[in-house]
Amino acid sequence: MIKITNLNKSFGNKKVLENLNCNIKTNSIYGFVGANGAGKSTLLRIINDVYKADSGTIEIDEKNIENNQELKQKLVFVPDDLYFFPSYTLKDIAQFYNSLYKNFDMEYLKKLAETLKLDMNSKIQNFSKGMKRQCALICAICTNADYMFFDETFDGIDPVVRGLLKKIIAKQMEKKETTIIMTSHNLRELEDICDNLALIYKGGILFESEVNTLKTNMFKVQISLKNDFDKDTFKDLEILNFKKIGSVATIIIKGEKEKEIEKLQLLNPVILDVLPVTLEEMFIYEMEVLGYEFNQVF
Amino acid sequence: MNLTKYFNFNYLKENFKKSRGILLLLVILVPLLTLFGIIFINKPVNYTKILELIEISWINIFGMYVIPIALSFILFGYVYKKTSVDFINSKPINRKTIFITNTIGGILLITLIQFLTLITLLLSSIFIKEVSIFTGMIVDTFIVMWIAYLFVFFATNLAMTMSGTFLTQIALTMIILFIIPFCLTTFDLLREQHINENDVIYENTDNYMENKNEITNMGTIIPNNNFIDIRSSYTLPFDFIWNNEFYFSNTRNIKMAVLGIVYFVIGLYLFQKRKMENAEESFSKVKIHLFVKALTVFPLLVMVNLIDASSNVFFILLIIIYYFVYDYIVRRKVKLKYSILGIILTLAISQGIILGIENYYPINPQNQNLKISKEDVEKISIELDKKFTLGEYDLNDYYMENEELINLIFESSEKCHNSYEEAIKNTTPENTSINVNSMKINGKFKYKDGKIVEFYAEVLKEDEDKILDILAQDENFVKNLKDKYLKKAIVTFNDEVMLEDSEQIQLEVNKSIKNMTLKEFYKLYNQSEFENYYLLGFHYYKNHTLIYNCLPINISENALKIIADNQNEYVKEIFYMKNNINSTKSIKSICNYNLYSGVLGYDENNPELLKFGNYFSHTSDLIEEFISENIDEKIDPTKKCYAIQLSELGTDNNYFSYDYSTYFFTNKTEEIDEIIKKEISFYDYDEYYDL
Repeated sequence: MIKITNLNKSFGNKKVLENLNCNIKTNSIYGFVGANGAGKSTLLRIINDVYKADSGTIEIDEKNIENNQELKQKLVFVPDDLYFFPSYTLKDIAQFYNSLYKNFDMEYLKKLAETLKLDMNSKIQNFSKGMKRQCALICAICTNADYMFFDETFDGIDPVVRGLLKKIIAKQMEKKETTIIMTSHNLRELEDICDNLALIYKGGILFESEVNTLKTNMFKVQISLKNDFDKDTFKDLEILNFKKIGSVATIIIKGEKEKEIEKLQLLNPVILDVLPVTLEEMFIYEMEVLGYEFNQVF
Repeated sequence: MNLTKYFNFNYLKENFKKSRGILLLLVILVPLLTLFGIIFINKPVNYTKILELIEISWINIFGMYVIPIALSFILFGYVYKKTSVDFINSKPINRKTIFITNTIGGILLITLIQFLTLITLLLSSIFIKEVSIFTGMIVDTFIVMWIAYLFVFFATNLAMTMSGTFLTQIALTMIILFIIPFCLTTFDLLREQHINENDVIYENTDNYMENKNEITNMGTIIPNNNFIDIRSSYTLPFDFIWNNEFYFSNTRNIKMAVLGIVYFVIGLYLFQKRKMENAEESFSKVKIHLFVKALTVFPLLVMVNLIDASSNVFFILLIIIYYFVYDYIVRRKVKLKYSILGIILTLAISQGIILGIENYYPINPQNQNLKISKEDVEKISIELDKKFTLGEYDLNDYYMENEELINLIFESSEKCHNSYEEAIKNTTPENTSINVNSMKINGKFKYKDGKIVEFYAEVLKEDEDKILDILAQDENFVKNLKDKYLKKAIVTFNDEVMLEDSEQIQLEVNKSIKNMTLKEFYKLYNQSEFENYYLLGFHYYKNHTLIYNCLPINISENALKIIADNQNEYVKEIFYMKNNINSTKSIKSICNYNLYSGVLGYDENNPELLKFGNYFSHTSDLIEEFISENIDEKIDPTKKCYAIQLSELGTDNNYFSYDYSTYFFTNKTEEIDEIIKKEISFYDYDEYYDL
């Protein structure tokens, strides 16, 4: 488990993280979303002991990460901007990882490289942006670290390989109780893989929730009644958003789906369709509840 | 103890591997260039040369300013790029381990560089017969350069912990290495300049002497402050630039080692605290950036004051330009108001310090603090004559607690001073040859408080015998004096030409001087006649210094035979090269080769021949022909012989600045006499004499 308490970090006069608190459970995929410059990458760098926090604590498995070499064996970080030693091949870079991580699985790396059609003996500097990221990701996965941090995880990777990598990550979580921490400025990128999501805004966590809770606690219906109706007709429900076009209204309702549908059935609707809600919509409506405009945050 | 906490071999291996090409180049560069230096620059064509410390080390010294900085950049350069910072610092290796591991890596590489250089020099001394290098000197070079490289490496690493770009690291390294010694030295110069400008004695007496010290020397004795304090004070990187000297000094080595350790410890602490997010920026804070920038410009400001304060306005303009260019180069945006404030502050502080120094040191024309009181002196170490002790330092310090000798020197020196003053009164600027009845004495005094000062005094010649008698009573002094020539040395004739049979010559010398009395030896010491006396050089390496002592020795026939055969062999080689331009040996040398000849032998009937030599400007062809015809001559040392000096033209085509000379020995003195007569016949002798 990762426990972050009152984390602060400034670059000169600019505050990047401000009293950030967060708990990340083991064996989950935790996603940090936020606009560019929100502090996601800085947070990952501090957790990985690349940068030092100005104040606050980070405990991983109840241990402080700072200068803790043993604990860092449990962590692997793939940053947003990738770096490889000049002239290194995937094989060379894997050897580098192998020399530093005790549990590095070279055979698995070869297998993954084969799956992703990455030539082990070609210089990485000649690879495309997406291929470089694949290299970094599979090297990280093969460390068998307990905590994997992927910044802008799938940036530059095509949808097919992206799907493949998601499967590989999921398999890794099955294989070992791995905790994956991802960041992205694109919510859609994380919605189908993350267990938890946190929204970082101006250096702090604005909103955090389990994706399942979000999905089960919020649903969208299209409804039409025989008589004329407005928002007040549904005052027994917790309505996050109400839009009516003609005689059909689209309503986002917060609450347990079955119970709330029963309530709607009592109104004898002419049309009652339950529609899927995208994660982005959920965030938009949650933000609105908190008094933020979604466009401000992203 | 878990050593992996401090050192990670795998990381080091990978760090080396990623830069293996450039590391290999850096490792072989110094040994390789040192070898080339010996072969192509130091190695003479026709004789064996005894190389000095600087001659085997100059490439290594230049490397000292580049290689440790390059190594530091290769090992720690990742800190200057944000992407590589993410890559390395996120790995399971903490900063302390990274710093220590990379430092050990640097130490290993520097050791390897110096070890390879050591091996190169040792092999050169064995296989390149044209050069001779003392093993002790090679070992000393290894020690000095190893420590100096590490010192620069640690200083560079310390600079790295505080800077965000490579350029700022270099600027900071220069500051760490140079700013303190530079300020101390320039302040000292400023102080001296201030004193000299107001020195009355200097102005009144400059008709006779070049500087004020010699005036005070005539009657009094001054300490050589430089000898004790300055020489061993500064670290090699500064000292070599400032004084252009290279020598072995234990004090300096220890100083560099201690400073290196201090830099390492501070560096380790700062590296752990380093703000890695500052990569690609000069410093984390604008204040530090401005401070470092001011420090880089400060030495220049002091220099301007030292050279010519009137050029200040122009220089201030340059400083302003520099201020903005510096920001641009190190990629740091500084607000205009901060830059202007920085310029004003830097100028104000530097001017303030300079004015402070000038006011702090008052006018002191008497220089009284330089005088030595006889009462303070406890022991004396004396050199009889510097004429033939050409070694840079007197390492045969033998201190005598001899009150009689000390008193005699002081009294004689005072008398000499008085007579000198008399002489000045009666001397016109055209007639400056004064005080012929004096002799010079050099040595050192050891004070009762332990301080040592070097003195340089002039005493009356009539006291020479008394001094010698006192000295002769001290057996150890005599032994010490002779030891310079008795110990195993490489014996040379004709300055740089090494004799292959040093050992045998040494035996001859030992035989001739071992049982001499001090007076006999002293006479030999000051020998000015050359009949059967040959000026031999004795080279040995002692106390980390190449000692070179010369002595005119009345050598045995056996030794003369060795010298003559060697010299004639060299001449034969030169003539062979001269006549075979397709020879593989140095063609350049042949093309520049010109001859002039002089007779070294002493001719009782015509003593002026020796004094002026015979320059065969009209008969050089005859001399050359003579040598060619007799090139295979092996002399008979029992018969009269001449030595014809052959000199190569100097680089400026001047006979008197010859690069080297050698001698052709011959028993056919009558034939040479004939040539001499022909040569003399070209001159009006009186006119020639005047020349």
